[in-house]
Amino acid sequence: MLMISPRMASAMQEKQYTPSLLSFFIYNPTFGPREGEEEKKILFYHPSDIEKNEKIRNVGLCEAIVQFTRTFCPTKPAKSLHTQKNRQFFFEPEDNFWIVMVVRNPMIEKPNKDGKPPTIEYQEEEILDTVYGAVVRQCYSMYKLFNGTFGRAMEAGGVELLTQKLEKFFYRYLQTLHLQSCDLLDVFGGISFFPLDKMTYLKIQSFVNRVEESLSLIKYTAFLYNDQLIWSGLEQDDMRILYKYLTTSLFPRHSEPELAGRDSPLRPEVAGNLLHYGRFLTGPTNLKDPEAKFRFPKIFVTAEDGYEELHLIVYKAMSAAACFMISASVELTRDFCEQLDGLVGPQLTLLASDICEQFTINRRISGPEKEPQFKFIYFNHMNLAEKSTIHMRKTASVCLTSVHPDLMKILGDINCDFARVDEDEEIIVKAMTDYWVVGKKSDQRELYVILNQKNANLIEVNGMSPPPDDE
Amino acid sequence: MDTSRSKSGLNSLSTSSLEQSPAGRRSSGLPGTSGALKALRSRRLLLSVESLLRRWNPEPRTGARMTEPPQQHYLELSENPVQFEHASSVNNVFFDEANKQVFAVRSGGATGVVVKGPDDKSSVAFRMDDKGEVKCIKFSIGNKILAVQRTSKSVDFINFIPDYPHTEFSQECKTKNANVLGFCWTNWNEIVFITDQGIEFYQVFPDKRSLKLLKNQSINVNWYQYCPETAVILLSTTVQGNILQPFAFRNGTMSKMSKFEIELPVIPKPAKLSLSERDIAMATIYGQLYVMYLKHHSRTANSPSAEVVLYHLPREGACKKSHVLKLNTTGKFALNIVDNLVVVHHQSSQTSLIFDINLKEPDCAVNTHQPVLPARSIHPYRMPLAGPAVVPSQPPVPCQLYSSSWSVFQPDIIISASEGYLWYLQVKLHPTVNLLQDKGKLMDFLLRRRDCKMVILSVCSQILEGGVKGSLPVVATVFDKLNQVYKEYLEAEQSYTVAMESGPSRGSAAQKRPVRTQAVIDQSDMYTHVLSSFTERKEVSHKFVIAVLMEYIRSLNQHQITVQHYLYELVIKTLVQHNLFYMLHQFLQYHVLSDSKPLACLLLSLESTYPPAHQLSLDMLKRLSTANDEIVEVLLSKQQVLGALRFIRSVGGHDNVSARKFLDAARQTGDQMLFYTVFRSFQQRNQRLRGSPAFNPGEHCYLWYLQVKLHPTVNLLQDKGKLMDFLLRRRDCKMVILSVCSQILEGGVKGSLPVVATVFDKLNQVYKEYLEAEQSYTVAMESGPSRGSAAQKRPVRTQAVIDQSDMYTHVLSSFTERKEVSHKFVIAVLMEYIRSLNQHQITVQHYLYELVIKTLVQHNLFYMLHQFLQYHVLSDSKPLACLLLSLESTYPPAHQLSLDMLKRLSTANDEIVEVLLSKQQVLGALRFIRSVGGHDNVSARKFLDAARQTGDQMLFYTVFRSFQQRNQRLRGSPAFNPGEHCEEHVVHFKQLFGEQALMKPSTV
Repeated sequence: MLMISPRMASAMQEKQYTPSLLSFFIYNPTFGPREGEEEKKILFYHPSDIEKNEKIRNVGLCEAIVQFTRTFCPTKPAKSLHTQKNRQFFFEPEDNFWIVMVVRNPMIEKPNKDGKPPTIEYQEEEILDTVYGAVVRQCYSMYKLFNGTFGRAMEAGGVELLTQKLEKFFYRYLQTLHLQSCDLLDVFGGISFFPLDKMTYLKIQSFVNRVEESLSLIKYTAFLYNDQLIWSGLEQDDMRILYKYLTTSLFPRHSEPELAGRDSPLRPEVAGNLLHYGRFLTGPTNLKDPEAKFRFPKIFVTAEDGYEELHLIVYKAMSAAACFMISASVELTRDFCEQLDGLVGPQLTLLASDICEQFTINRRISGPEKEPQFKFIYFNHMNLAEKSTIHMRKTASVCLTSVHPDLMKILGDINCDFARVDEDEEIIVKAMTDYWVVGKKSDQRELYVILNQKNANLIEVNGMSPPPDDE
Repeated sequence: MDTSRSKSGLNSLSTSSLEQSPAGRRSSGLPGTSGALKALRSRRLLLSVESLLRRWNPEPRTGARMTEPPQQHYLELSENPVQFEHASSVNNVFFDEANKQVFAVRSGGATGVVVKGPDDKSSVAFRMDDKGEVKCIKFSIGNKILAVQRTSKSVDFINFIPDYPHTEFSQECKTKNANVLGFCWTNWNEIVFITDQGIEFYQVFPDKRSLKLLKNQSINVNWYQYCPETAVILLSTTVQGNILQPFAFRNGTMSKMSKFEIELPVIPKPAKLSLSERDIAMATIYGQLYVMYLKHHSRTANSPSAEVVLYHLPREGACKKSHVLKLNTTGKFALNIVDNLVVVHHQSSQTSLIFDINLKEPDCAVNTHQPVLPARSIHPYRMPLAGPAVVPSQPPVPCQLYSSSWSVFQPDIIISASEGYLWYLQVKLHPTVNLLQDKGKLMDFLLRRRDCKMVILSVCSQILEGGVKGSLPVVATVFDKLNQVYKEYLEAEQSYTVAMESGPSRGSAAQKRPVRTQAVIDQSDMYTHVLSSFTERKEVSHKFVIAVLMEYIRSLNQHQITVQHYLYELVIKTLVQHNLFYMLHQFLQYHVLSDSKPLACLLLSLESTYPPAHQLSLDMLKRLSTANDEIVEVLLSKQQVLGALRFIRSVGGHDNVSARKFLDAARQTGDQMLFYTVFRSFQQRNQRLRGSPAFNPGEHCYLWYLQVKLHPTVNLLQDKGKLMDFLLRRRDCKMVILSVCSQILEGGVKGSLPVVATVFDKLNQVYKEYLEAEQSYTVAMESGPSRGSAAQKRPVRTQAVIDQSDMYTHVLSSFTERKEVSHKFVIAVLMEYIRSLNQHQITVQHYLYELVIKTLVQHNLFYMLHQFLQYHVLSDSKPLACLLLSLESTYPPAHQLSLDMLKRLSTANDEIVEVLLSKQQVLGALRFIRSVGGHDNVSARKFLDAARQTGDQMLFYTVFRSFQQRNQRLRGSPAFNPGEHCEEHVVHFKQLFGEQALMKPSTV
């Protein structure tokens, strides 16, 4: 399949607006079925300063659209609504609970002469349903990770508790949504794995096993290095969302003094312990502090009988982070934390420097890093492994990509095509300015390559496709 | 009994070794040896003068260790001691350390000398003339020549070589005025005299009955010691006796080794002999020669307890003080070496300590050792009562351990001269397991022992099964220690193999095949004795099991040992058992479970429970790069034909691949485009390789070729019968034949029915032959293999055997569904097939009948069906009857047809009753069951249920009465049995017709 991408538009004096969040609300139509009680349906509404009647109107509209589209396909009601100015995404995570996100389309403001108000041109085709649909689902998954299902809150404290929880969670969470930088990676929601040799990996295994054995309260352990996963005792789907939280929220928030390295004089003295560099990222910042509180965030993961509530302890030494999960029914004490610190700190410090050393050796063997002549995104549905040379380091605020958004959109489009069929496929697209985009789907894997080679032709492009490893 | 301790009795044994009292030996007056010291050894013993009788062949007496509660005795005396006539006034006993022989000399030899060695072969009995008191007596190596010392000036020799003169000959020492302290054989014909003024090295010529002096050396000698294993003689020189001069002997040469000084705890003034030979012993430990010095505590120095100092005596170079063993007590001691352990016996506490000089003591100064284990006594021992008058039933008496009559010799010998026993000291490893808490140290200890394998394995099991918290680091340490030894062995083996392969010419044949000691615990040992049973224990958490397995794999990897497949299998099995697929997934991702074909296959087999296993498996095969065939197979089995083709091209295997396999798979998909593509692709390949698109005969593709050709040119092969004859003899004919059948049928050409019939007959002929062969084989097998000359081989089912199932699946079922073929033709074909089967006496399968019926019913040809049934074209069977029953709603007569069929089957009475009852024909059912004589056994309740459901009271009455009558007839009472569950109906009956209507039991 060959496609030609839209022209890249740019003019100096034009002002460009990226997609942005207009509103985000959650409702349940069964809570206020009668006229005059419509407000009861609304469980959460952002922005909160909207006038009540408008809220009701917007919710009513969504309800109507969903209801209307149901007549065409009762099992699959509308997922999104495209309008000139914005796009709405509907998602029903639990029976009768609807999450709606309204995104303003990107637009270009063209100044007019003669002092007339500028013309606004909405680019309604520039955003992808798959990407923002995934963002909405992610919002829910993240809520569920920390609060459990909506149904659980309803059982525990009715609508009142649910609205409280929603308010508390989404108020903060929505601020961290950066819609302008959402792309294909959000669709995948993958996990980046740290490449590691077998021996070092076995050492980590050994470490995890020993810790779990001596601190038998620990139910699950996950191990990350450099924000990349190495080991997860949690099931894949839970790990996926926890990984998202760790890498996009928790880790970036703790600016890394340990980046300075183990022996560097630049390294600030970590309060408390000189024997190792371990510290708690969740819970107490300083164990020695007599006022320290031993409270950890709680998360919900799937278990054999529904869900399971766990304390999340994240402990980090240099670039190595270990997440320990302990049943929430247990109260965590200072004793326990000190024991954990004493046991894990030294071992993790040692392990981190081992991994670092091993990693440098491997990199030296594989040769100096050259600027590759292509960039790629790789994803394996089977193990959620993702790899991208397009994205820079993700931070809390922005996710930088090194390619033009238009190319990212092409990737998104190819992905949509892949999703439509089950069979293996290959799509090659010629984009502007000598760019070729190749998408390949093989079994459960997807690979997208962006080539920038002058005068390359289709046959040449077809010839190059490096199959990366999962790690 | 004379316990003369004179030095005269060299090399005979001493009763005094453990007996010296602390106050004794004062005579020496040395402050350092005051009392605390125990003699290590001394040589002489019990002289007896009385002559004696024949007790020199005592009845065999087997000792028995006492079975006691586990006292953790880790030392024991050998179960089968060497027994000899105990020392007495008439019987002198000597011990030769070199040959380990005990000499019982009666009356100076006149009444017999009995020599007992470690085995029966080395036992000898003879007489010699009594020429005076024997001071020392020894055989040369191999019992060739006997040397006897009777005076302090000379040694006498007697040949024991057959055909040589037996007369004694004698040799005086060369040095004037010297006294012979003793002699040692260093070879079968080489002997060393040790005199108080030096040593003389002689060669003996038994034939000439003379000796030749090879070498001598003058030196003042206080006493000497001999280590037979290394042929080293140690001389005590100087006034204090603490300068020791070793000499080594080998093949007629004598070499002086460097002398060394033993540090005495106190230097005596004036100088006098201060180092007793009892405090010195020589032994080889871990292949090295050591001089052991038992250093007693000195009152002046502030070392309160005794210690053993080991001096390492290398072949070349200076002797060095190398180890100090701390005894932490004082008293009388004796030393043994067992399994490279230094055993120190302590008489007053009746216990022994063991030391392992290779065991590093982290908290001790270098080369200072504490006992490995707490002190324990030797395992209690019972010996049978001695003497010919012993009553067999008399219980054995306990043996007094650490008796003062014991003599201790190197390396591991304990002799009780007064009781006539020689034991070997042994180490028992099992009791050590619980004495040493530090499992790492325990492993270090065990790995150096001889018979350690089973003990080590049991320790491993014990650690794992204890499941004590925090045991994982211990497990890791233990695994590392085991694998270190294992690794060293593998490396030695490897370098040996390399050396062998590079040819024996290089090097001086120094490469010996490495010995596999028991300490080498390989993966198979571990798997068999520890891991496999451990993983099956229910009470151990799976987390711990996996942690242990991973620890073991980690340890193996760390030692660069290739992990065996069965360990991976164990890991996978455990993970799968607990549904820990994601964990498995991660292990594979990091190649913790190394790639291998068997592992990939195992993964493939998991696909149904865990779909991602498919990709994992394929990836693994790809990485193996030798598994291209397997990958193709997997892809083809998934019908990913194009994927397989692309893959095989990418790895460059397209030219050699079997086209047939691909074409088979392509055809099975039913996708014609795909088949075309694949076929063309191979034609192109053929063109490229051989200049022609045709397939080679060897590829067995001509039939595919044929088939492809058939499509455009159906009429090319006119005579289908001939075609069949041809195809049926080909090897890979099945799919082609079936497709030809389909083709003939689907062509639907007029007049093709005879062709169809011919084809069916040909097929069924082959089919029939196969069935018969199979049948006669089965019969032959059942009648037993004895008959005939095993000539009966199981008939091979060739592809030409097209059975009903093949026909049904590939041809008939799709054919009958084709809309464009007239149903008449369809039925005709089916009937043709059934006819052909019948003609060949092949039982027709039910599904064919079903197909016929289905086709008939579809076209409302009920009457036709009716007729087929009437003539039993469709053979009777219960399923068919049921099928008919189900047709009743569309075709009411089917009911009767069905019932008739059931009736004919005669085994279907129950079904008939059910059918009738379901139709509410209760009376009919009753009548039927009576007619077939089943009335007596039938369930009354079923009938009464049905009768009640009709709502017809009369009917109910009739049925009820009928069964009452039956009951009366059968059991003499109209009442129902409780087992029949008819109570409800009895009540109902009473309600309807009153109590009195019930039949009363008739009293006959």
